[in-house]
Amino acid sequence: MPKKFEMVLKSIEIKNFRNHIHTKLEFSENLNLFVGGNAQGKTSILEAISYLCLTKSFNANSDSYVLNFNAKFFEVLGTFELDNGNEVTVKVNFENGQGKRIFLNKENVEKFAIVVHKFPIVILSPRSKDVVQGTPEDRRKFFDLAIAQLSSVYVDDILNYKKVLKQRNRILNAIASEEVKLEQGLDLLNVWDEEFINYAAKVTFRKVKFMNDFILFFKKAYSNFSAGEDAEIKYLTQVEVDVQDDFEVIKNKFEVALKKLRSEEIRRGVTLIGPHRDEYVFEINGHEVKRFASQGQMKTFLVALTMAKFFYLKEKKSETPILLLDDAFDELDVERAKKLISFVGNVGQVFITATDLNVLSGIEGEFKMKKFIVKLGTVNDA
Amino acid sequence: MLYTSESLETLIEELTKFPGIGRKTAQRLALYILKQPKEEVEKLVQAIINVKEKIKYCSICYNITETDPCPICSSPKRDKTTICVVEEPMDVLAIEKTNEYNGLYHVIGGVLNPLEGIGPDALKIKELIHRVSSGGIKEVIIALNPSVEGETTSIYIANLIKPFGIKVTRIARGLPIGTALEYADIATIVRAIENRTTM
Ligand SMILES: Nc1ncnc2c1ncn2[C@@H]1O[C@H](COP(=O)(O)OP(=O)(O)O)[C@@H](O)[C@H]1O
Ligand SMILES: [Mg+2]
Ligand SMILES: [Zn+2]
Repeated sequence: MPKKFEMVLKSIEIKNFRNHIHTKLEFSENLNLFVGGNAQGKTSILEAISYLCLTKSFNANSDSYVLNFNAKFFEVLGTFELDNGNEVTVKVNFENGQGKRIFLNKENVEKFAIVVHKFPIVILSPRSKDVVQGTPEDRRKFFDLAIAQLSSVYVDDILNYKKVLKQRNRILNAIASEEVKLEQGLDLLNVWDEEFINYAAKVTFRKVKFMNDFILFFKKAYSNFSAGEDAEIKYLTQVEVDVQDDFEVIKNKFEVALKKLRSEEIRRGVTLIGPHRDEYVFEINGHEVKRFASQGQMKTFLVALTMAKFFYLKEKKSETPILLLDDAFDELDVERAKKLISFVGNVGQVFITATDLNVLSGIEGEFKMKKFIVKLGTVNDA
Repeated sequence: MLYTSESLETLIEELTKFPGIGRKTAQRLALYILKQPKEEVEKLVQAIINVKEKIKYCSICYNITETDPCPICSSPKRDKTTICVVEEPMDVLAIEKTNEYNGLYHVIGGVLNPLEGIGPDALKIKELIHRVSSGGIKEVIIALNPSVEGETTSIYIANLIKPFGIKVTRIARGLPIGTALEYADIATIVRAIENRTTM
C-alpha cells in the first residue's frame, strides 16, 4: 500500500453546480472512481474540483454555464491536506450579477493566480486532444497554463503582454491608415516598443527555460508507453533564442527583429513577431504528429504529455498535483489509461470517471480506492 | 416602463448618462428624488451647481481647485524645484495624505491608451513640458499607476523631459502591479517615493 500522499483533496461540498444540487463527498487519498451512465453528473464533479485548483472549469468557458439552471448561486467548498499536514479550505462562490469570489481559509483572494499556483492539478478530458490535434493556440494554452501553475508572476506577464500587444497593434493600425501623423505615430510606437520588448522577452525567456526542462520529463514519459520511437517537442520562437540567453540578450534580439520589420509592420498595420505567434511542433521520428501520426500515436503523445506535466509539476513544486481523468478510457484506450493510472496512482491522488465499475480490474489491488456511483446528480458509495 | 410624467422621464434620462448608472438604477434614483422634501432636493441641486461653478482646474498643475492657482502651487512652503506627475486629482490626495512629499504636482488627466483613442494631445503633457522648459525645475518624479499604459506613458514623458537635462525619476514599483495609487496604503506610497529610480 502506498504511503500518505503530499497534497490531498480530502472532501468536497458542491451546491447548485450543474445537476448537483447538494453533493458532499469524502475522498480516498489515492484513487477515486466515479461510475455512472451518460449525463448523470460524473464530469460535473471533476469540473467542481477544477474550480478549486484552477478557479474555473476545464469544459465551460463561462461560470454561468455550470450554475444550475434553477439556482441563483453555486458554491464549491474543498478541504485540502497539504504536504506539511496543514489543512486548507478553498471556497468558490458564484452569484448571478455578483460574479465569482474565492476564499482561502475563509479569506477573500483577490488574485486568482495565487490559487492556481498553490493547488497544482493536471487534467485529461475529451477536450485535451486539441493539444495534439488542434491549433497552435491550443498548444500555447496548454504550456502557458503549465508555466502559470509554476509561477504566478507569469500570469501577470502574459496578461500585460497581451495588453501591450493590443495597444501596439492599434498604433500600427493608426499609422497604416494615416489616422495619425507619421512622425507622432512613430514617436508613440517607440515607447510602446519598449514595453512590448520587455514583456515579449520576459514571456519568451520563461517559455524557453520551461521547455528545456519539460522536454526531459516528456521523453521519459513517452518511452514508458512506446519504446523505440523518438518523440520531440519543438518550441519555435519568432526570434531565434538559445537556452543560454539571459533576459537582456533576448530583449536585444527582439529589438533588432522589430527594427528589421519596422516598415513591413507599418505597411500591414499589425505586430508580426512575439510569443503570441510562437509554435510548438510535435514530432514522432521526425514527422509532424498532427499530419502523419496514427490515432494510436496521437493518444500516446497525449498520455505522455499528461504524465510529463504531472511529474514535472511534482518535481518543481512543493505539492504533488492531483490528476483528473475524464472519460480517459475512451480517450486513451483502456491499456494506456491503466498504465497512466498505475504510474500516477503510486504517488498522487487521482479522480477518474468511467461508465464501467470494473474498468480498473487487474490493477485495482495495487491502490487504495474509493468508488462512487453517480446518478441524476446524486452520488453514493459503491 | 413608460411614465405618464414627461418631467420624470426627462430626469431618468439625465441620470442614465452617469457612469455605471443603468436605466433601472436611474428609475430608483428618480423616484427617490421625487419622494424627498423640496429643501433636500434644492440642496442637491445647489451642490451640483457649486462643483461646476466653484471648482476649476488649476492653470499650472491641472489639479481641481476652488482658487487659481491652487493652494499647493501658490504655497510659499512648497519646494518649487520638484514636480510629481500623476494621473488624476485622486492621486494628489493619496500622496498628500502621506505628508512626506513637499514638492509640486502635475495632473495629466489619464494615460496613453491607443485602444481608447487617448493620445498625447488628450493629456496635459504639452503643458508639463512647458512648465519644465520655463526653468527652475530640478527633478520630475513620475508617479503614474503601474499598468502597462501607465508604464508606457512614463517612458513617453521621460523621453520628452530628458533633453532639458532635468533629472527624471519614477516611483519604485513597490506598488503591486495593477494597484492604483489611489488604493495603496500610505506606507507603500511613502516607500515608493523614497525608492524612486532614475529613468
Ligand atoms: N447548468 C446546468 N444546470 C443543470 N443541469 C445541467 C447544467 N449543465 C449541464 N446540466 C446537466 O447535468 C448533467 C451533467 O452531466 P455530466 O456531469 O457532464 O455527466 P456525465 O459526465 O456523467 O456524462 C447533464 O444531464 C446535463 O444536461
Ligand atoms: Mg462526462
Ligand atoms: Zn496647481
